Amino acid sequence: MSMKVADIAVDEELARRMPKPPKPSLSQRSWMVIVAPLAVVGIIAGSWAIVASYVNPVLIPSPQRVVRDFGTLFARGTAQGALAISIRELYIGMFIGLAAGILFGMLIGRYSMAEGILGPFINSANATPLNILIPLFILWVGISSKARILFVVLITFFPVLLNTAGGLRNVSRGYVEVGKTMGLSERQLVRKVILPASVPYILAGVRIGVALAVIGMIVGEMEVSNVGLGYLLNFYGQGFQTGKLLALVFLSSLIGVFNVTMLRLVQRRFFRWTIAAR
Amino acid sequence: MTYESQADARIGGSTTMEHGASVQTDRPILEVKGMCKTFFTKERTVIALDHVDLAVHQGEFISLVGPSGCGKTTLLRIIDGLELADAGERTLEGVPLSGISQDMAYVFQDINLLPWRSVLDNAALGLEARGMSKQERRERAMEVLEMVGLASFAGSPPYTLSGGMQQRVGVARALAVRPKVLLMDEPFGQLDNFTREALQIEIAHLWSKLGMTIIFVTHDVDEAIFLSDRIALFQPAPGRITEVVNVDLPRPRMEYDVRAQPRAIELRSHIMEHLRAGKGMPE
Repeated sequence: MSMKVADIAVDEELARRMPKPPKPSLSQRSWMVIVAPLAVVGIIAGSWAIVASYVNPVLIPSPQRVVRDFGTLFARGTAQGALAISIRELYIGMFIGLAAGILFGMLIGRYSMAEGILGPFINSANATPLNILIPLFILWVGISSKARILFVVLITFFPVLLNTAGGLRNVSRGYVEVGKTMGLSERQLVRKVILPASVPYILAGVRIGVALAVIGMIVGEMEVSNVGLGYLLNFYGQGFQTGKLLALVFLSSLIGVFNVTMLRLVQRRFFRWTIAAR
Repeated sequence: MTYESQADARIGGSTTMEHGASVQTDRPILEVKGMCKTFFTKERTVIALDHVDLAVHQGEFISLVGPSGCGKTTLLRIIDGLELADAGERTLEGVPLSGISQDMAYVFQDINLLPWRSVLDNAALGLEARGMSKQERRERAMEVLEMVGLASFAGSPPYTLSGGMQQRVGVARALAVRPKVLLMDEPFGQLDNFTREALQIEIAHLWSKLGMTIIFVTHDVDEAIFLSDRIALFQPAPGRITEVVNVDLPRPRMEYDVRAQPRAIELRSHIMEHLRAGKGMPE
């Protein structure tokens, strides 16, 4: 009497008896993961060292020099001090910018009236390069941590806002129709279909916002600061201390790498379905 | 109460279809009168539906057949309430409809499973709108997944399933709400031949067991002949139903090769001729 169609699940017994695919051996794996990357780094460092020996060390410091300066910066506490300030400003500004961007993006995406009213302002603000606002900030808030945080907030806010709003508006019609035909109310439709469907767009906006936040932090510190990474970069650059400069550039890029890695982990853990599987 | 026992009660005890018999009642379960729909675009104006009438009987399997773009999908969407007609009325069991009906379910051509939900949660989507408890939803969703043979994939994300399996979930999702009328819009159009045939047989099975009314849109004449009691022939621009054909082939049709039957061949050539004539194509 049961309607069960033969289940198309895999025959576990058979799967166990099938020959296993060949796995790379231990030596193969250590080659791929450890040796090859090290070799690449070695080649780059080697060519760099060779080039540097022919060029004025002020323009292109040797890799040894940079490594040594890197160590000095940490030994003297300069790097840690700058990092402490920069990181604090970066992440406070970034999270405020992300949160505000997503929140307002959802409002604008959801309510056409909001878009009608705020649209022109947002579009013109987005088109303006934010650097030009820096003198204005200095006037308003002074050369302070607040000014730099505000700058990071703004530079993060806009891409997140626009992508979030766009995402909510551009939800695939198919999904919405499924929700409708299955009888979901307006509220249920937003909660169960529209919001989840806009996650990929929001994530894209977040990715951009995070990258811009780092830039904003550094630029802000170059212009409006006497402390922090950006300031130090400026300082060493103008003082021709290229070794320390490059060491800091490398340090700053590590922040970016960290952010990207964190984002990817979050995406894999909470939004696995957004990763193109096939 | 399981779906099947409900179906038993509805048809009055018997669940197997006898040879040559189709379930009819004197008043149709679904009626469409005078449907009109015109699409205005910058390039051209398309009369998708021109005063279309259709009466669908309780428990029957009726197909809407015609070349692409002739209004059959539009009619199906209007019946479900996904689109608004310019004029015309529809009634379900004598009651006029407006908006989306809770007694009908729709199966989409591009499947449209929600990728952020598991297979089980996709099947249960319609139940969430109907205020069932979590436990009840789970049971009902597992019931329909078993009907389509995907119970062991309940926890999987949709992107791990093949196209045929995903459409099975689409069908399960529609069945979960126990619709009086099931609307299917070229559901197997995107699948390969083998999967398509397998799913045609499954649908025929499900239909004969569960006894609901099915309105099936397709451009595949053989598919329509295999599955249906009646076939409504559409012609495009302006969209009209020009003939309704009775498919008087014996059931159950899975037991023999329908295509080889002389009567089926007759029907097929009649339908093809009719469709070609309407388009003004050479015979």
